[in-house]
Amino acid sequence: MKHPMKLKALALSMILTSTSAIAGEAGEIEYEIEFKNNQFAPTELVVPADRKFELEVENEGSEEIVLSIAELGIEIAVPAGAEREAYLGPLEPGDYEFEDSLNSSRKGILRVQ
Amino acid sequence: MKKLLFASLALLPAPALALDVSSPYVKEGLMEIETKNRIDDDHRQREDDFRRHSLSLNYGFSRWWALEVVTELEKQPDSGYGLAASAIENTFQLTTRGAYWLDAGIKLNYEMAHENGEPDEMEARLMLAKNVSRMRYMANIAVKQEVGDYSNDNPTSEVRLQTRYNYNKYFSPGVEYYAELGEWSDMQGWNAQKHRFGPAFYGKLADGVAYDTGLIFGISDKAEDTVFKLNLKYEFSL
Repeated sequence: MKHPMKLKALALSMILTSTSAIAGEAGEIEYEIEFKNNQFAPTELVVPADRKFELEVENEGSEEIVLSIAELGIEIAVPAGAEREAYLGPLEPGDYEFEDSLNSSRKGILRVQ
Repeated sequence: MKKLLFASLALLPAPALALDVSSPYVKEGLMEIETKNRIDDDHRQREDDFRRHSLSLNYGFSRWWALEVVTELEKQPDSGYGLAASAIENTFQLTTRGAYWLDAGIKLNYEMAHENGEPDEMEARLMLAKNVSRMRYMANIAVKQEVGDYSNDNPTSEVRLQTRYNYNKYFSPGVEYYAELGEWSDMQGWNAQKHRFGPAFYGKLADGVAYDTGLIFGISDKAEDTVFKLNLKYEFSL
């Protein structure tokens, strides 16, 4: 009698595991870019090409920034001390420069692969 | 007398649009100074060399709401420049960018006419945007209603469409379509409406400075032959 119970438990655990993997696939991944010490961190952010994701921008500086990814038509205005988010993708693979559109010396790369 | 007045008003050129397709996105905490300019070329003398210039101040009070104050200068073909109107525009961003299949916003405007015989006007504009990798598609659907003295009771509507390819930050090509469909209660055929279509270009000139220019061609009899537009915007943090 123990064998069938173990098989049932194994089958149930396999179903639960596969279900959570599917939920993970369908759920949104979140990436974060911070602005502090007058620069973005990270300066290179790698994201997947084949799915939608949330991009959160946190501004720890003392002035407003506008994170712009011109080739994707994205501008996210973030007041000092605030966090703002946008949803991107699916995107074509490639490198997309991002910058503060108010001060383009602050920049980084969004690597889609 | 009233009939004579309305008949004479009907002979005046219709109010002309500022040529741009509005985005549903609000930039919180940013002040924008923008000038929108158009110069018309037309084979009809009473439409030719019409010019319109506007200057606006826009501030994003929150991530969902921006307020804009606009003043408009017009030059009619047979007269000099004059102050045409002032407007107050409220833009409400309704969705977080990219959260849904379409991004949406709404703009509510009140325009006060400064020319004799011109009515004030209220406008509600639905603004939609869809971003697909480097492509952006935008649509504006507006309903306008004249109010006050000299007003017409019938609402009018217009549609504006834009498709652009985000090539780089300095230069992105696109095409735009504008349709003034006329009064709801007396919708006319294609050639009695104003339909325009043409290429447009967008980009950045310097940090915080952006342009939007284009040559828009009339594609119905009532529309102007050609309209050149040049819009410039400077945005900065307060």
